[in-house]
Amino acid sequence: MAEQEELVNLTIDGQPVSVPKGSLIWAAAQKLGIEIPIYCYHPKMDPLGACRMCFVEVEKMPKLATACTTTVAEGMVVSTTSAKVKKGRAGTLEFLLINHPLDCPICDKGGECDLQDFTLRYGPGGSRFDLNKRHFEKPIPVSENILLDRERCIACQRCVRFTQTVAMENGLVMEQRGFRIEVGVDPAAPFDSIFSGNVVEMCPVGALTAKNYRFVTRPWELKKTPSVCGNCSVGCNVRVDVRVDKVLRQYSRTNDAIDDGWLCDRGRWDLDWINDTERLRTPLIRRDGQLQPVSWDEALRFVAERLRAVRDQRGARAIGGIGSTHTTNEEAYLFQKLLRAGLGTNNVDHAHGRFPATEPGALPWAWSDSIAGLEQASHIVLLGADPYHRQPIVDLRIRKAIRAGARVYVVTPEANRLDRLVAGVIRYTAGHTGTLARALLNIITSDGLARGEQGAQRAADRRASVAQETPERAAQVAGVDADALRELAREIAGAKGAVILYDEAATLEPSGATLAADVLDLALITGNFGKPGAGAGPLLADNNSLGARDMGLLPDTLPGYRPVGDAAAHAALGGAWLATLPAEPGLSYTEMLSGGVKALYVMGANPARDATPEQLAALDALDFLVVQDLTLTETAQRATVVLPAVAYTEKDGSFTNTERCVQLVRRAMQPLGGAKADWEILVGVARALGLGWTYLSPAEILSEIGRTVPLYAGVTRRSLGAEGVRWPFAPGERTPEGRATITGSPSITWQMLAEGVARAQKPGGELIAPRGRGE
Amino acid sequence: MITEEVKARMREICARYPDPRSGTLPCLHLAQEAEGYVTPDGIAAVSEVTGTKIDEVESVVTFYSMYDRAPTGKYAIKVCTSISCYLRGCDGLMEHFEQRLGIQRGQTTADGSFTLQGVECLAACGMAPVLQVNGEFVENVTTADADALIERLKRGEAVAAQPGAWNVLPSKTGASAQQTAAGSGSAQTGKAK
Repeated sequence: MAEQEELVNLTIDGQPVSVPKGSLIWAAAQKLGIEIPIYCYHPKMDPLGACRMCFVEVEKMPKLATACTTTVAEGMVVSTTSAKVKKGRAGTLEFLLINHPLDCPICDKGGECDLQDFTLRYGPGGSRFDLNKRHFEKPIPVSENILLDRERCIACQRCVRFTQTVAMENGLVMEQRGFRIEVGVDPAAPFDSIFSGNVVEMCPVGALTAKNYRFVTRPWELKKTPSVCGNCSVGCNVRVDVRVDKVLRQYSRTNDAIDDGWLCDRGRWDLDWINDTERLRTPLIRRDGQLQPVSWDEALRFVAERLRAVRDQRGARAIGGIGSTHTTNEEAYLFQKLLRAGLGTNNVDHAHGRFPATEPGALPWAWSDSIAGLEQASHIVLLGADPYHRQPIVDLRIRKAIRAGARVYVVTPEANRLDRLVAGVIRYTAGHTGTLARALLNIITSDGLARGEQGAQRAADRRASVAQETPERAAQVAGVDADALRELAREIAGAKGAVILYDEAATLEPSGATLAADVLDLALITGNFGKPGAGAGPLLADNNSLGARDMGLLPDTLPGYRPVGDAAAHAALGGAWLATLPAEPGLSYTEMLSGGVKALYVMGANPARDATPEQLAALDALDFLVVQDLTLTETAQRATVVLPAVAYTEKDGSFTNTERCVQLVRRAMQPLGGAKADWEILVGVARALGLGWTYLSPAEILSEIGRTVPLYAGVTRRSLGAEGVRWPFAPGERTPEGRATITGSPSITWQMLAEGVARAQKPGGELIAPRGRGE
Repeated sequence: MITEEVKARMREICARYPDPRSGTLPCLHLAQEAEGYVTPDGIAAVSEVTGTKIDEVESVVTFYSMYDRAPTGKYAIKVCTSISCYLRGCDGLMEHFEQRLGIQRGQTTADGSFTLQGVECLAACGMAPVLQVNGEFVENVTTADADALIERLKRGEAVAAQPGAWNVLPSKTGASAQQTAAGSGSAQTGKAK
């Protein structure tokens, strides 16, 4: 913040407070910890002033003022407790309760209802209304997942304003007026938005309820744990609500930098896989062709024996491991450590997009800016990306950017949910995202659209490589409008700040081998890099897609993207792990699935689901297949040993989201009886192999990562805090207790790009040396 | 069906405003005029022309009682039920109409000639109680006026002798207020067939 914000001083209930000019009285009171009850107001939406609940008395104002619409002024004296305020609030509540049923004990919202709570705190003790209340047909569905009980609605219009102004989707509207006003849907415009669940969370009464949650529990029976959603790569902050042994829902735990207080319906409700009755509760070993239950001891001994046998007979290179994009950083780290240090092979990989090999020490492939940075972008380009379906909350942030004036270009093969809101839509034949990226580079390098010295240099470097990739050629092979591409290239080159995003899946298209590099160059050449609201990068698939790469679930790099052949990294990590590490790059995911190995260890992945017939045959031909998973997946059905694992709600750990933010996941429920967390299983296998691992908790593993992985230098459970930190990290100020902290980087700068991982390796010049045994 | 010609008129209206959505209300009136009431087609046309979402237009239509959502009879009698007219006895007036026409408010007579509706404020409080017949005002209405009005309409005559003006019916007397208020005593008896 370069400029000082202008502050306004006022007094609320006798307490002085200073807040930025333009703040609302409600926000100033919030800062003091004074509650002002609200229904229609929502901190993430514009004020409406409809419900009249937030009355306060302001000195020298003749009437009560609504705190949610009145901005602060210098010297203002506000009372939230005067007799006039109390009478005003009680009056509002008495009016609201005229039309509202007084049946809290049978209402699904009871226990977490603002109307109930505020009536207890500010309401009249009784009602003077002795006539019949309104009755409606109930409940009526307003969408596939949401039901409406109209008699409970207090017409605050939060839900309507959310669908219309935040989600910008068809949805709920107010119908009729006066006492007849009600929430409704137009059958011609169904409420089918993936953001629909937010209206249930923000409904201050029991009017909007979720079909799969209503009347299943009472709010006070829930155990509520702050954590991170384990669905897509956005990493929205959630509160996991568990009743005994079932996850019932996830509510938002607002993190302005990531989710801005919203959740998608997938994150909110798609939790059935955790509560699945088909979950595995005991290890299984294949005997006489059948998977049969065994004890953990027996299973772990068996796995160790067989792995040792394969290594002794066929060498370490005959063993491979396929990791997961869903397991925690700690588990991904242990998995590759088990393969590399324990079994002596670099055959470790996972299903991921294609990212070109980088120079040793170069900055890894990742989104160079942040989700919050989208709001500062003047242009956003989606190349082969469909965030509405794949990273919904990124899509929601793009909508916010559109409201702030960003010009968005949707460049996708298929119709996109954003189409009707954006500045430009470009369609092309599926599979040609890479062709388009190179055509854009061609236009920019041949039309002299580079900006800045570094951009011009980069353009000169790239010109020859894309000389043949003219927009006319793209028009021919990809069926795209060449002029539209030219216009887009000019828009990007003239942008104040453009963010160019592609989906990880687009890199797997035939044309996508260099997509990651081409898009990065597009941003670098046009000067759209190194500042908030500009940059490039992939939108990854899963909750820990980036963490899996960071933790070295790759055949050619150690944790932190150090090449397996790098002698220094080798020595450092080998020293910390007390092992001699293999220097030869290992086999890739597809190579391992094509008969490259004899024994395969699969953790949290299901390669058989998307396998070709040849790959299935190779899986069946393995000497030994061990699978760790929650249910008997297609891969597990082929396994020699199946080890039951637990979901992210049942363990501690950390995930790294698509914008480099490392965040803590917390155990929200007891692990399913008989199953173990992946890290516990790995420790068990390692001990059975005689490795002497002594990890007692994910916290201990994360601290080791913080000591041994340069990119994660300084990371501990404590230093990540409640809202996570984005790499590359730098050392922060010490806490009053003398504890080290780390600060993150919302944007990757030109300097970081030039210095690469080296910057992260030596934060503040302090070498991170492994401490302790660290095994 | 909203014809291209009607849509062209809608576009012309929207062009008068900096933001085309400002033309929503006049466009809806056009749609109603073209089809007799606001149909889903009409809403779709207005949504298209004003660049607003269908559900937003729907919300507007339900807010204003001047828009009809179903076909009306030949004469749509809209009786104001807001505060001034209420104080001046619109309840009695409405019940009188219900008895006289043999229908409930919101209904249309079997022969299709009259639709009776209660509507929100018609902005003529000084002359309460008021009603509108197909958009034309009738003010200071007594039950006697109501009978006279129905007779006139049945005979196919204009709403008043001077159409288009503020229609003050000839029977106006100073006693009309008491007369209309007296009519409100017969609550819930309007089921006459």
